[in-house]
Amino acid sequence: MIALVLSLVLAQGYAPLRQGQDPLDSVREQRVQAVGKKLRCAVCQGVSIADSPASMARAQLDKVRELVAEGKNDQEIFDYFVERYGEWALMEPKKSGITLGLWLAPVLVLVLGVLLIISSTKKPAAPVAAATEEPADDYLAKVRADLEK
Amino acid sequence: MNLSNLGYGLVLLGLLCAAFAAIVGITTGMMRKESALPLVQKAIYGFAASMLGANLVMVYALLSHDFSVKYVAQVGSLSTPTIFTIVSLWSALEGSILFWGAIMGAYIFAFAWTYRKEHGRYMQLSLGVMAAVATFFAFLIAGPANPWTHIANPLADGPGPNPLLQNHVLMIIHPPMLYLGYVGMTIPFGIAAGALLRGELGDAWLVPLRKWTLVPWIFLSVGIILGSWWAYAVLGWGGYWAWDPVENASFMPWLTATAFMHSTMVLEKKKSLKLWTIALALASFILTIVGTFMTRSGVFNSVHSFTQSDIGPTFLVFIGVLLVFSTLLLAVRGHMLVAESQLGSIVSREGSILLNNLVFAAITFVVLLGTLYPLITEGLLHKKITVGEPYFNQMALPLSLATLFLMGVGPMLPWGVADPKVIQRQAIIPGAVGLLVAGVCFAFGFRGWMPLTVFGLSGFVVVVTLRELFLPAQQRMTEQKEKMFTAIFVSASRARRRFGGYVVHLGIVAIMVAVAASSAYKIHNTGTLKLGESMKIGEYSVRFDGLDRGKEPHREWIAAKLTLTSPGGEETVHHGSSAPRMNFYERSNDPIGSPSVTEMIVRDVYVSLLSYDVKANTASFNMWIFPMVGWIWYAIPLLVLGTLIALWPQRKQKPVPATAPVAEVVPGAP
Repeated sequence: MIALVLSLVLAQGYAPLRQGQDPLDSVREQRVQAVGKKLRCAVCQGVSIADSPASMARAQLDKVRELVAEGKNDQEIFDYFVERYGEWALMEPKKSGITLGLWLAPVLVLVLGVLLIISSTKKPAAPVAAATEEPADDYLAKVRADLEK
Repeated sequence: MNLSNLGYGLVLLGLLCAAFAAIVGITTGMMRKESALPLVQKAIYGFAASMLGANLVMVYALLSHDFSVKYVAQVGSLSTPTIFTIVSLWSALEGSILFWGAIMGAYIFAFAWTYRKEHGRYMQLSLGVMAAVATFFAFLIAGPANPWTHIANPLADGPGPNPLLQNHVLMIIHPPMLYLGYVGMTIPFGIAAGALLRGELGDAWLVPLRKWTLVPWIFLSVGIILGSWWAYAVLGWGGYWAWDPVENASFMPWLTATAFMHSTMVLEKKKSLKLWTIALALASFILTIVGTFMTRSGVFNSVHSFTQSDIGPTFLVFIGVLLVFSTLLLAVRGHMLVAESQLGSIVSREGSILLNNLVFAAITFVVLLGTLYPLITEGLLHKKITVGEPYFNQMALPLSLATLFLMGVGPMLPWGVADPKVIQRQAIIPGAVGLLVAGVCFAFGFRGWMPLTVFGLSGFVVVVTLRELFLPAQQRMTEQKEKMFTAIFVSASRARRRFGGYVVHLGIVAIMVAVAASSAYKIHNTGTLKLGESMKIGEYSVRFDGLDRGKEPHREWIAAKLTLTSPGGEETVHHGSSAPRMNFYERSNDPIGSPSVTEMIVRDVYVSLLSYDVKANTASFNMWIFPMVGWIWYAIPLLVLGTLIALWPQRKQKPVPATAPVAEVVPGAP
């Protein structure tokens, strides 16, 4: 069966569903690609529809093209997809609701880490007293010592 | 005796040896009966030998197309080329875990053999812990992921391995590299756990800990880069990194191992950060197991999860055990690893390394959080969300810039407390060069704060690094009147780790510049061409010269013949194997593309075939120009070279005169 389909495909051509929309002018096409980057391909998981070669993603990118051609703005296009496929369709999680933690937690970790580091290191001491404590570069000092032998 | 029984028997033998080594090693180690060590070593050698044997049997079964072995029936095929038949050893779940066992055997054997006469106080415990991990994997092979099941009435032929894996030569090297990286983390885990169980961490035991983290680190680095190269050269979507859960899984242990490599310097110099460093070694290993779980359990769907099965629960239990074991060890023994000295100010070498560790920990946290968050929201709140590339890019960008900055500042700062005047003096030239680089790039029309910051910082880091690399040599040249190469060689061999580390830094800078340039300045075009028509991509032009088709034993393909015209008017013909193609495998309905990538030092021209129509003689393409992208993979030799320099064994020290006190034995550790 697969072999039959295969020979058919090879003889005639392979075209994803609904493929064939020509790209828009370069300014709008750039927007299509940028918006596509932020929408998730439904069949490939983890890749955006702008990046995926899968036929489904190509069709969805054509839909974006259509919406851009209709003069919809980015937010309206995102809303269109979220309405149909849920928040799942957005590659970039929202900075509100349950996904807020994603954006805040790393900042919190950084702040705590910096506080921890500051508390575990010395306050910068007077440089004159400290400079004699250790040579500026112990390795170079070693090299010099080596050479003096 | 059939191959199934032979192979399975060897696996069982391996399981027995590993379990024996684990039990005897840990119990006698805890009782401090060092006389039992030879027994543990022999069991370890037995495990290694039986795992190697089992793998050889499987390779033989694959090559002889013995379809009565379940795994061969699953991935073997008479039409698969020999090389891919061997590769199919790791092309599906059961085989890859079996292969994993062989690598595990090789690592533990190498470790046990290298130190067969040294480090007696930790050895049994460490070998025991490693053997316990080995026991888990041998159990997996013997039970949940058994590839040996005998098939009574085998078919005459099989389906062949996953088509994605047959498409590119990189698939032959990339998985083993990653496995060598993943499995290798068992060794530092064993070393660190051994030290914790023993309740002490002497300077002598630090040397193997460091070296045996560096070995899997370089394999992991090379494996990750080769994987991204493969994705770029095979998948056809014009990218190399998608923050896919499985990519993230390999990235996390790399991050913690890299952090470890830096914090270990503070440990050595300042006798501080012991607990943190040990925790990083433990975490690197646990993250590899978490990563394996992600790849193998099928909780995430991705291109990589071609090897799914029901071993997920087994892995979850193992991860749980590891987490409890590690946390307990750190909690119970941690107080024995107290700092012996105070850290200097934050503006010092150790300060910069602390910040480096914080940044690496933060990146690891971001990657872990972003990867697991969708699972958490779906599991707890039944809400499906996506955490994709834009999130990771936004979070990783400032953190990566911070690492780049620290890579320049750190080496300039002295240990302890810095003298601001000295630092200022040292920073003038690198800082000026950095500004100059950014300025020149701007003058040549490059825009965008991100790439320009990366280029400027890179200039700064490169000057600092080169100065650190060659200043000692220059001193020798002026003071010793040595020739340049002698001076470089001698100064490098006097401080191998330092020299090697800086070489690796240069490689990382190359990767960062390549990532910044290729993502900020890529050019994209897409369209459908009739026969003889051309389209522009940047200053290049691509002409469609018609379709071509062909048949190989394991696949059929359609290619779109192209002629590429460079800005200078020079034409290159892409008609043969360098034309973008679609490959049709009997096993899969969707074709698998291979893009045509023209690699050049400064840029790649990347054309992938999207669709074609034989009757109308047209083809649709996606085309990109990626500036400098190749530097990501060209950096591999620098990373390897640096690591080899750092790992190169120091000549044995002359024996200590008899009058010197023997420093090794310190009795009465609590």
